[in-house]
Amino acid sequence: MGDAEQIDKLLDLSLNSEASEEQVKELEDLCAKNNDNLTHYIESIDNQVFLKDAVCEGEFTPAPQTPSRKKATFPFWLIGCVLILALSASLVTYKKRPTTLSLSIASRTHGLSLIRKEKELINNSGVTLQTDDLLQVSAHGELWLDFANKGKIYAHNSSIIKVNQLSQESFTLVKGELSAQIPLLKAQLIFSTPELEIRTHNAEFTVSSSNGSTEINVLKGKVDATRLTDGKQITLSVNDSINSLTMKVDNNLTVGSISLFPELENGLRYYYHETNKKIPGVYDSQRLIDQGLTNRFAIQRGAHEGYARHAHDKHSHIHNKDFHITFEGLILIDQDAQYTFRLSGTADSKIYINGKTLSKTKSKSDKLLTLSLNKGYYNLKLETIGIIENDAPGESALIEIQLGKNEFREIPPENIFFSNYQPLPKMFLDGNIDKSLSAHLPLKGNFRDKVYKEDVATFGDPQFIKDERFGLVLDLDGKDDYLVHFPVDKLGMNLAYTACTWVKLTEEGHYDQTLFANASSSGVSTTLVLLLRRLYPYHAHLANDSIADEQIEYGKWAHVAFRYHQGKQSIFFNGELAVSSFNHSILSSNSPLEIGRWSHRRTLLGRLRDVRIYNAALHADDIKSLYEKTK
Amino acid sequence: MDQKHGEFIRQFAAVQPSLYRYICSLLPNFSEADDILQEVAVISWEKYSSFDPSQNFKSWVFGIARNKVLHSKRRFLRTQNLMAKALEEKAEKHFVEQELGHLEEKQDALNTCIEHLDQKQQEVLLLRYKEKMASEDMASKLKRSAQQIRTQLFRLRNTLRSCINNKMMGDS
Repeated sequence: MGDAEQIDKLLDLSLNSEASEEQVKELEDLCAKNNDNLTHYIESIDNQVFLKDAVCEGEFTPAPQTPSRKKATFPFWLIGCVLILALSASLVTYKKRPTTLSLSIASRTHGLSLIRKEKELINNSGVTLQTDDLLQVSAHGELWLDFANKGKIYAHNSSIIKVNQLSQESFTLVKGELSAQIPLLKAQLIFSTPELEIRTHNAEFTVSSSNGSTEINVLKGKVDATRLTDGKQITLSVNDSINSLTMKVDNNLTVGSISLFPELENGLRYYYHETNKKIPGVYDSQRLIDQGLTNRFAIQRGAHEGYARHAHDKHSHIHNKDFHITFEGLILIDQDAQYTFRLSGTADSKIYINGKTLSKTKSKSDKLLTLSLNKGYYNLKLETIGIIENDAPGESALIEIQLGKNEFREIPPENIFFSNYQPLPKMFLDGNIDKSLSAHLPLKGNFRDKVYKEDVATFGDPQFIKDERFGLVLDLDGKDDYLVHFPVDKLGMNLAYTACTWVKLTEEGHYDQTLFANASSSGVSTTLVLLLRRLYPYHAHLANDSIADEQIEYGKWAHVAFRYHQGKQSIFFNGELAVSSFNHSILSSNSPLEIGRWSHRRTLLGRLRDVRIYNAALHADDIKSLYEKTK
Repeated sequence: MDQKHGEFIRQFAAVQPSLYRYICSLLPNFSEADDILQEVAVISWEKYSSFDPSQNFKSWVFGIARNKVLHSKRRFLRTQNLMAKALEEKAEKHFVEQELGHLEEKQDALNTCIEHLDQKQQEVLLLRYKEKMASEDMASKLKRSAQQIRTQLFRLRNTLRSCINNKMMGDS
């Protein structure tokens, strides 16, 4: 046997994990023998991979036998085998895939159910899809389907997807919405809805199906759509939209106006639901009281926490019944390792991570759960019961994590994410952000507003003093010192806005330390109140308020930003999102903006610098950049 | 998906076939090469923000793969440093210069050649490459010896290689 033949055979054994150590050594010696052998080795690798790809991905079936020569054989099954090569595993996978996997779910929330033909319900574990599987995404859930290098599908918002024929990569969107990205020219995926069949390759598009009609928007490439009732077929290109009822192509879509996939942003979602049973994990009532964003898997109920808001036209008030709290987000695990989760606190609570649960009752000690996790994203959910607000420390629930034998610590906010379906546009500190700056008071020794180029009005006797960190800053006495600017509508605060400032409290004063308010107003939706309540940043248009979980420290500077956008209020603390919540009324006022005072009692006892009002909702990245630039 | 992500996927998709072959040449085991390829994809995405667009993306990714394989205990020619270096250089040259268009053309030729095989021959290929069956298991299923199976696979590869060369040169 010549060297070439021996190399070929030994290589075949090695590639298929059949070679013994001696055989591998023999192959190595052959390759080391001369250059020709080494060249032949490399060429053989090439040929082996070609063959493997052709057989795995090809659509050939064994040629039929000629009856006179061969006996009948069983029909040959082509087993679906897509080589998982994970081009970008970091966003969508959270564990290494075995090479025989054909298609896997990489869902990111617990709002996903997979129903198999035997009616088995499988909740959000890393499963392999099969033909006839049904995927149901809840209203809060989302689903990612990863086809390795062939594409990606994202679905949310109560969508239902059926796997028709896995080997032919055919799916039905029964209802809901999905976005798809099919990057390769040669890969084709087939989607159906109750109304249309869609064939596509090398395209990006969205599909939604409800109430007897399907809509397609194409962002890239081409999509062929065939109406099932009459076979009418249309090809859609970039910027085209179509509805199955009319089958007329609109070319009005502007690429960039629709976001294909949501963005991952730091933070986690919270939901409050009514409950009678008061058992974590039991959603006996589907009635949602409140929802929003926060940045820690920690609940400390007390004077500021544990109360929920009702509809935006009612005053905020202490909720008079216990309610169910859910915190849910993606946590980023940085390295393959063993992790221990510790659930502590005084409340009944429960957590879910990677298909495992951990429960704790109020009377029992801390609970631990140890898991081996690979690098990537994992859903984490914390459920507990909220009680009525009171001034006592209140009840708590906290998740901490331990890597190996290190100390327990809270999951850092920079490792917690949620999917943002409607991200704000980003502006950058190259001047764009300043286009929306409607007031800017550096307060470095004078009261000049840099935007209007004139001094604001002062009341009392506010002074500038030398601060060890920032030099000259404004000092207010907590009695009658405050500033008055233009009316809030002139500053653009009756729509979207971002109000921010650096603040340092020097000593204890009133429990409400006002940063921004409007003068002489006390009506719902007409009163601006941005202050520190018991040291927690607080945001309200009088009623329907929100409050952050971060506390300012006496004697320490902090950057606080309050943002309002389309009913959503967000508070940022030192550049990071502290809390967001929804269903807030817009501000409607033409009273002057007061800085450092809300009514005669709630005046600021402390220092201010770099006060800014933007008449736009700044992206979280812009707020972070602003903090970094001005600190 | 943002632009940067899409850009990375496009670039990586174009180099991935050659990259996989390169990895296999340094670590001749399909299963382990699959894992390495996946890891290289993740690492190169994570480092993509530091990638200088004036560099050659393919060479850059090959470098990441090389470093990754370097730490593998099953690396080919692990104990023969000089030969290992020679292999790295030769394989890198061969696969970096490999063009996607040429690969696709060759793949098409191979697909046609496979279709001309008879049923038993196709079955052997499918069992080996698609079902990843070991030669002993194939022998048991097809009622032959493992050695006969391996010999047949060798001959099939030779046959297909000749067929591809003929097709690429335009012969019928």
